[in-house]
Amino acid sequence: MIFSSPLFIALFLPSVLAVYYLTPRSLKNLVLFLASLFFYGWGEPVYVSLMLFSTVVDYTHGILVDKYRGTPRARVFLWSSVLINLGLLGIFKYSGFLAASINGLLGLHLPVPQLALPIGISFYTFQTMSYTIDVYRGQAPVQRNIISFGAYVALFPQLIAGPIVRYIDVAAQLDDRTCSADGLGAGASRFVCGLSKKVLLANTFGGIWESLSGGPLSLAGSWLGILCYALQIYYDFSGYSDMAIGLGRMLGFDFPENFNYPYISRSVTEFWRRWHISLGTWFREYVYIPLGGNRRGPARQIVNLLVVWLCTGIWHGAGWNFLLWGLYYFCFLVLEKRFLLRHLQRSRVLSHLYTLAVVCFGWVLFAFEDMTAAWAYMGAMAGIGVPAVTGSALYYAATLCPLLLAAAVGSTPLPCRLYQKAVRKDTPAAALLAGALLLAGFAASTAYLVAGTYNPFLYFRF
Amino acid sequence: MHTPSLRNKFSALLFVLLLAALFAAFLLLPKRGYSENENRYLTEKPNFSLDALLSGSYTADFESYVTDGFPFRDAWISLKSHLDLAAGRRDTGGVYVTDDGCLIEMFDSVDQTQYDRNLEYLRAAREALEGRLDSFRVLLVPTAAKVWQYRIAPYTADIDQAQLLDQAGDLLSLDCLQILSDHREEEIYYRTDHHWTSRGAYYVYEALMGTEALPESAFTVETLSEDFLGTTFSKAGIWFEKDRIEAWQPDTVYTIEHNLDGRLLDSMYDRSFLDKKDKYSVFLGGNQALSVIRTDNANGRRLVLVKDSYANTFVQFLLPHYEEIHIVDLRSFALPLSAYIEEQQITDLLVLYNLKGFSQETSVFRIAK
Repeated sequence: MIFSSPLFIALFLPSVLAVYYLTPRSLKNLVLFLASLFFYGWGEPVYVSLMLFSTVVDYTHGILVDKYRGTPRARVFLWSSVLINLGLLGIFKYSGFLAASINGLLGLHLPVPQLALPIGISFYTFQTMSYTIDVYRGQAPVQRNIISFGAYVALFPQLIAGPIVRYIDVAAQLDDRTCSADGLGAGASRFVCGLSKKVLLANTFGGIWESLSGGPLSLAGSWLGILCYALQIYYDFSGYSDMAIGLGRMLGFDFPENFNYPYISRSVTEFWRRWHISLGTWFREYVYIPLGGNRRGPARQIVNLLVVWLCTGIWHGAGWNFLLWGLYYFCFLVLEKRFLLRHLQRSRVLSHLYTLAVVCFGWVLFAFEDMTAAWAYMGAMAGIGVPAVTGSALYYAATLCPLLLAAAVGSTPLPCRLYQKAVRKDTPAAALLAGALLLAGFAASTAYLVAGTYNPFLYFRF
Repeated sequence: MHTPSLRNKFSALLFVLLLAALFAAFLLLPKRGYSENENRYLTEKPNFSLDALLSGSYTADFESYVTDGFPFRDAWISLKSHLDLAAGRRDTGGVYVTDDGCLIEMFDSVDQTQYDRNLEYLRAAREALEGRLDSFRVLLVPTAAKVWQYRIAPYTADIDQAQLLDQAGDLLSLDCLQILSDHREEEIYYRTDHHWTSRGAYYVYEALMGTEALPESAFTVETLSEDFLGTTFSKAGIWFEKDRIEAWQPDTVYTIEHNLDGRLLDSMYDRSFLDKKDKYSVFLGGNQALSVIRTDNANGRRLVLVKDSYANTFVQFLLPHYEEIHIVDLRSFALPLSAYIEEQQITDLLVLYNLKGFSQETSVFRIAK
């Protein structure tokens, strides 16, 4: 099930909220666990067993790690948990890609497994791994209640598209949290904000991107297209995160923020501090720092960065283009660390332009799994062998102008700042403003969802 | 926790009310089985079975059921279109909305392989039937998105229909784009439907028949309906002005039989459709696999018309010129065409499609069978 669907809004969410709020505190985790299993099983009736397996495995490993704390066995169980989780990922996400790549490189004919990728597997395996590691490090208490642990793993708000909520972020709330009108209201506003971002903006830009990238390319058209794609993926992904955080608040959780206006960045380094923050944090905490981070000299640091960025790339999908995309960012990050960052401080305008250009070319790598198509598209962006402009690029540029402007302004902190200013005093006028925005966003999003226009789920490769 | 703010309390109340209202409306309001507006059966509540659940078809069908049965569905769709236009867009739901109130279906992508293949089938058929027919003629009619492009915007997201027509240049009997463009100020397409009007069809007929063509005055023009809202209205969800459907009737006496069902009708207009949403189907009663018209013109000319729904309007103009007209829809016509031509002693063949439909059509291969 996805949040941006009539089913979720008209049936699932009302039912779950009603039952959840009427249930006594001691049973809330059970309700949450069952609701989450239903939510996941709706889209993955078979693979829900895989998630349950993962839950039981990490629950047991947590207890074992805790039991043998301080002995070498704890380490064994830690690695066993990590290997099982990575094994699941390896089998269900990467085995087909691996076999096909080996066949391609070595000219072999290994059978290529044709497994459908379980939705959200990259999110929940990363979450369960964080649990065992945190318990091993003594940073999080062991969870002895399997229902509470199951509720954490399956937690439907962030199950299929993040943010990656580490166990230590919600450990306390799992056992003790309050549901209040405050949380419900603030959560609802946040949810509707995310829903509107996804349905009104991301889907619209996504449709235009498909149209522009699928037709004859031109210089202006390819830039307009990749701009639309950049806006689509930002509003889609951050919209999902907003919905997740909002739903979390309604249920009494505080999830970490996942996006912080990435497109206002003045360097690629800054961009990755603002984009998909929870993934960056995960790799920093569980890969980069354990590998030694920057503490073992510059050469080792570069190797560590390379590992992290290859992992980041391939995490986004089992394909060469994602690996290349990770490598691409590795190169820019190393260049910036070495010398570029100093120069970027000099010009505000140029540093913004540089970052946007790097990110846009990066999105081309991300968008096309077929590398020949990616090169052709980049060629068009460089104006090689294509006309300056096509009719459809002019048409979309003219008719999208207001939306593009709105989306560009919306990707800066300005609208949020204005809103916070307007509602800073808790007056009836502020309440009315918040209510009006909620109503407008909800009604408009519902209209687009019911009209059944283009509404893709982008994270099935993750 | 601090005391709840007035703002959050109000938002919470509003959100709960909204969800409750949607939930209740969905459960309590009666479901429509058929959408007149969209001209299709809405998805019904699927039956549960373990197989259907595991294969994913149950949940997929259930989601369609919720979307189709959403309370006040038509109003939401209309709201969406108004929002699109308010945001400066000129198209909504795959339809351009012009300032003067025309709803024109977009033609923004083409399956070039399918189109090339379809042209090859026509060439193969022409070659195979060489010498057996007096004429083999092909008409591909551009859609309103091209002829009325000037009403939409200086540029549109459309593919270039002129270029597509050029690729079929060796096959085409007429330059329909030129003919229709010469009359572009007239009502040659419906404003709320993707078809052309009788008037539009007349101009192409006039050019096709040349000196044999009858003047406008030879036809009795009857207004069949003045409140037609067609397919582009259904997609866009908004309308400005309803359409008029005209019948242009020659004084030919004829019978028409659909699908060899043994019932000889004396009119190609099925007026029962005038009370329904799908009023364009008044022509021939919609798409039939095979319709056979026999007229009182004892001139020995027997035509096979291979066609899509664009031709349904065109048939009325052919009546005065042939002794028999066999109207074939390849999507559902199962007999080998060459044998049929032999058997019925056909003298002429006319292929008539709209360009968009033809470029997507997957049954054209049957013409060469």
